[in-house]
Amino acid sequence: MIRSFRAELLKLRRPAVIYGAAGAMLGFALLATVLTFVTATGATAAPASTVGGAALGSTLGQLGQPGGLTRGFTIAAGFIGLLVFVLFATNMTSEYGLGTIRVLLTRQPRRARLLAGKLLALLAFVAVLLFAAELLSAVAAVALAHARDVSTANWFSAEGLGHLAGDYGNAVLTATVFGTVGISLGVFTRSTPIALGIGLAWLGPLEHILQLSWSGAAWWFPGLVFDAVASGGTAITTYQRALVMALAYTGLALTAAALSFVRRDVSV
Amino acid sequence: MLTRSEPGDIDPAKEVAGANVIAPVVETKGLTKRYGSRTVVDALDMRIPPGVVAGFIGPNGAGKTTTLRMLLGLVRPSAGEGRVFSLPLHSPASYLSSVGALIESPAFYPGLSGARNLAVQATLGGLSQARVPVVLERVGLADRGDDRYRTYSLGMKQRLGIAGALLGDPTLLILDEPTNGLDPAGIRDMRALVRSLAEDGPTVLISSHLLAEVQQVCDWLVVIEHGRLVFQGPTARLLAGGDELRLGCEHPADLPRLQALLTRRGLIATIADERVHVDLAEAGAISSPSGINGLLGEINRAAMAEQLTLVELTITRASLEDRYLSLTKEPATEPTTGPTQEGAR
Repeated sequence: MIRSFRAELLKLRRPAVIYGAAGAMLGFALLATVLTFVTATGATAAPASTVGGAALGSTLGQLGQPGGLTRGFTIAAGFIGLLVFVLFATNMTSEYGLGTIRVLLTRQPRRARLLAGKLLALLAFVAVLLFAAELLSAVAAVALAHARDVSTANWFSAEGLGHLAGDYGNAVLTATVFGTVGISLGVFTRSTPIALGIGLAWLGPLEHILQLSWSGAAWWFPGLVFDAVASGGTAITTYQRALVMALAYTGLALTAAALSFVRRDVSV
Repeated sequence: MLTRSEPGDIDPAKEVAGANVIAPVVETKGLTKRYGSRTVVDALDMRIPPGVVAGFIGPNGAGKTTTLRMLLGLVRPSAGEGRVFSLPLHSPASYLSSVGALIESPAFYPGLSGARNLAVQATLGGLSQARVPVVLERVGLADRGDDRYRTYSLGMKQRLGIAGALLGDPTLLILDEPTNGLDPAGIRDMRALVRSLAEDGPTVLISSHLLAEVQQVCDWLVVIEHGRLVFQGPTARLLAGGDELRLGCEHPADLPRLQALLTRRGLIATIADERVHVDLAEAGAISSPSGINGLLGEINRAAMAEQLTLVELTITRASLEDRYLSLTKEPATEPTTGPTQEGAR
């Protein structure tokens, strides 16, 4: 597994991947932070706009709370999850598309180890990028706080720093569940268009459309549950429930993917 | 030190003795692969002795690549069994570290350099990174190793594929259609490369449908059709089976008399294309060049004695293509199996 992990990192360590993934994640984090501060109102009422029950808009009062420093990053984490899904799914399907899966499996015939090493390497890669994204978001938040006259005193308190660490943990957790589902769909479908078509359609618009007609969707649908983890819980789903559901989905996807990966013939 | 034998340099006694003493590098028994109702590989009994350059030939769709995939653990057999280095196919991890393979087209990451691609493979296989420049040098890509794979020509991609196969310094090298898509110069270079690789020691198994290439490089053959074995054994044995003597008379009307003369001497002679044809393998006269010469002199003298004037007396050596076509035209029921050649070196 360590060999597979190291080999995957060696593959990821190239400018196109690093700049592409980093650009997208950091861009999302920065954009979400800027929009959060720019659109923040002075009102005290709860914002109306939500994604899966997670509030998108903020008030200046909320931004002055201990969690205000990473408010933008938290909102971005759900979107970054979709990005992670794409990264993981295409990483897997491209092995089949390029035929490199043949080479990988002749060099590491213990397939479960190969898959585990690949998944862990991708997660490590994303974890580093998320750290950079949170850092960028925090720097931007400090700069924007001065512009919007938001007090930053609470941000650097013990509770504020706890939020900083907790939100990073949630972002990594969200990336893990989205990534695991992505790599699993990649293993099942072995095709980039099919994996992305199914995944993005379901995790994106379909779940949100269905949510409009079924109130229980936010409790059960994986994309909405993953978003709830990223947001640290929503008005509809508690963090604990979302976390349990997300981990259950992840475990299920990973087990099914591992079985499929180990047992299916490689004929590409 | 034993050396690789030349085609035709076969001692049957040695072959049979070797079959009992030296374990084959690859051996399958009843190996079968089915996809639904379609049987791609059908009860294949294959045997590759150590030290040979073995050609694995058959028409497109004969099951060659599927067989190789089963040997590499990529595809599970539906039935039967197989061993590589005496280790079972169902545990490929136990033997793949000694196997290098290029299956179908070379597969690499286009955005990485050739050297980085090999480094990924070396890392995954737990191999020394120091092997990367060595194998690049070996296949003549030392000066292009830092270029991206996507900038390589087809011939360079094939050579990089072989470099990847050589990374682990394998004891068995499996090359699936290594000349696919190459131009004549590329094919020549690839042939020279394969020959030089074989000199280095590994047993080489080459799948190809370019029979002229196989004939020039391989000293052992496995021929399959519709997933079934139709021949396996030394290349020389297969080729010897197709040698033919052609005789022409001054007057075509004399051909039946010449045929009768040859038949009386125990030869199987047929008339076609205004010539008499004699199967030299059936004549049992090809064990040594002097045997053939002796037979020719004998026929010539007998014809003169019967006042038959021969205007043609030609020995035609069968090409692998001729023999292959004659084999694959026959129904693939009982495979022709030559005795196993003793470790060729």
